[in-house]
Amino acid sequence: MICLSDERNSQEDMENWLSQLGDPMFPIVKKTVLGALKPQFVSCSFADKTAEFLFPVEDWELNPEGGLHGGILVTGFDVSFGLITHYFAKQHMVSTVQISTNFLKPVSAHDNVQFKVKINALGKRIVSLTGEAWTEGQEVLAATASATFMKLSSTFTEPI
Amino acid sequence: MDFTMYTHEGQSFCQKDMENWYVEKTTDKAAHFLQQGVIGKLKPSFVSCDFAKGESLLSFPTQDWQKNPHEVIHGGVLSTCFHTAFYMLCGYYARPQTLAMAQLSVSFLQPVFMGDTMLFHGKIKSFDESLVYAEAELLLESTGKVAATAAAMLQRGSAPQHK
Repeated sequence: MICLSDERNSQEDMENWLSQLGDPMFPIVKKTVLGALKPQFVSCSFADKTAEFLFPVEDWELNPEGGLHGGILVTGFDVSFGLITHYFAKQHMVSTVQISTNFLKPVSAHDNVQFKVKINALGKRIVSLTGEAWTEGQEVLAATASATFMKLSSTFTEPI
Repeated sequence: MDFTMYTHEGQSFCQKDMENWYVEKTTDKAAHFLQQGVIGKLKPSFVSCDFAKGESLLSFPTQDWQKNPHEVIHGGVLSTCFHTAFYMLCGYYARPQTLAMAQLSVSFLQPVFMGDTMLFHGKIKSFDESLVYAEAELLLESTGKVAATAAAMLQRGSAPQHK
């Protein structure tokens, strides 16, 4: 398992760490809601502080109208924002402070949603991010979001 | 908001009707609402409502699958509970028309730990022909503290809701 380290900061390291998303034993995924959401790493840029993740839409994520529940779309953003923030926070825990989502188009069942997220400001404690959610093929912009995360002083007992 | 004299498209609106609507939505396992998707998985329970004031109180249990890497309930799950609570509250008054969430903003104040029960208190602040604006608080049953707050803007549609 590749763990985050203050000594390693590079495009290759970021790709290697995020590529572990598909591993059910990855500490970020193990026994968490990420295991149910099944996010897949697509790409990232260490220099630009951006990342892309793909989430499949599954039956348990639907609303009564048969489309993707808006709350799950927010969860996809929160997870994507969290993953990129974790990379730069290293072994420090992070917490969502605020997340705001604009819903533009409905997402169909059994679609795939690609989340593109970017850190706009990386402070000592506060991280500011924005993101977009596109249906597969990047044909439809389904939602946009902005968020503020906080890097906590506490660290993980099991390295991530 | 004051919904005391509220009527809409021949539908029945009153305190008793609102309570019955909520009980039906949250306890009837055959209900479309619970049968398909994430709402049934969240296991919402109706606590109370105030028809005239446009308010409701729902409870959601914390569940293992909802955790984040810090062993507390994931913020996205809390957002999903808020979304559901808003949809149910505003959906009661908008029926038979559908509602679509246009914007949802959530602020997280306290962590929610496993074993606690989450109480979502929602309140409609504005309700007109096109847009509905509502606010809500997530209260922790264990301490009574406000763990999160949210605000939502929903758009009223023309198509009928699922029953």
